[in-house]
Amino acid sequence: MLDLHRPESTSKNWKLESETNIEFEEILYTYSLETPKKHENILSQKRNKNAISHGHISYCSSEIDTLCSLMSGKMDFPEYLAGSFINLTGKNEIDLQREYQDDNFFVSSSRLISKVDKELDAQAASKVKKLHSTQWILNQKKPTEKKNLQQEFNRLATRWKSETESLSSVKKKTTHPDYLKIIEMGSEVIPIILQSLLKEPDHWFVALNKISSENPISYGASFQEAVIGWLQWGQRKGFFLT
Amino acid sequence: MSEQLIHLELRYSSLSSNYYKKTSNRTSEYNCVAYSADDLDRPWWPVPYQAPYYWPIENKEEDESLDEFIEAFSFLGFACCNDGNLEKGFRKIAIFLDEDGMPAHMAKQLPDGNWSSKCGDLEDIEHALQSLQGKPSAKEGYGDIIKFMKIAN
Repeated sequence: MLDLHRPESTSKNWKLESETNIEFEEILYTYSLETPKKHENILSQKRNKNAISHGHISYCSSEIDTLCSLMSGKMDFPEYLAGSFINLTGKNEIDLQREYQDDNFFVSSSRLISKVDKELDAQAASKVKKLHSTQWILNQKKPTEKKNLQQEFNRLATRWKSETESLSSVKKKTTHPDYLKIIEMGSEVIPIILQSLLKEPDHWFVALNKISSENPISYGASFQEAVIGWLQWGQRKGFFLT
Repeated sequence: MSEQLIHLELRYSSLSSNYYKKTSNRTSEYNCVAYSADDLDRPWWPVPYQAPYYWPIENKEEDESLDEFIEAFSFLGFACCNDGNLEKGFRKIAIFLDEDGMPAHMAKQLPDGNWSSKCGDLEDIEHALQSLQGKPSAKEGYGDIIKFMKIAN
């Protein structure tokens, strides 16, 4: 039995407009990893991929698949799922072997499981004390909102690029009204920015820094090194990149 | 005939009536200031942002003035001079000032007396000095007034 400290918990009912119209209750917990032994327990539990979950504590891969499928079917796999779990109350008739995709994201169940393992290993190795807050989790956008977010980003980024690409001033680029609006979109836009950075490297470093309050790039790094550094940062944070 | 860069001519109309020639494809990896300092790996600008943005001297106050540019390039060995004429034994750089008197662009002199610029995140071009000279508000060029500095070859 895992001994998890639960500083926060909440629940939320989701009603999905899918073919099966499944309703389920999602219970999300955050917890602290306090000792190496507990890390081992968690990893061991997670790797029991055939586990059937009836209780409230499970790292069964099928639940993670289901959560991803149900929550959006289109959502980038977020880091927090490695430490959260759900209690299904509705019928679970989702094909766990299905693959799902959206504009930016395509992943099979096996890759997802592999990702979960990496997330947990990374958490254990880095001695993460606490995962994202439950409020952060609940603030994540639903699929339709995410699509709108992508469209809004595209609209703002296109105009920003058009109006600043001939300028040399980094300050004028990064204080352009459209650039600031993208920053104001908050953490939800980070995967979209990273995807854009991967496809077409541009001046997104300041935006990523402002939104995440992190700076993984050493001073003196080249532009290419900064691009790679931020993409690696994104991978460590659990953002899928195709 | 060299490739015509319509997107640049629309932004800087002085180009359409003066000499220029494309010398590289567009990239965001460096800007005109870095290019003038022969650094093609990172953009230079006097802002205390994180890497890859670079400035050769400490700049805690986000000073983007001409004095700041002169101080930075003096640190690299350049000295102010009066004009952009070709001078034997020296290489020159030009700092274009916008209508507010703030640096907006830099170019470096080529051995034949022509100039070479990186246009923001767009192409590098070889050009006459006046090809990028003009009022930014009128979409003529990067700036009317140009300050020059030189360094011994």
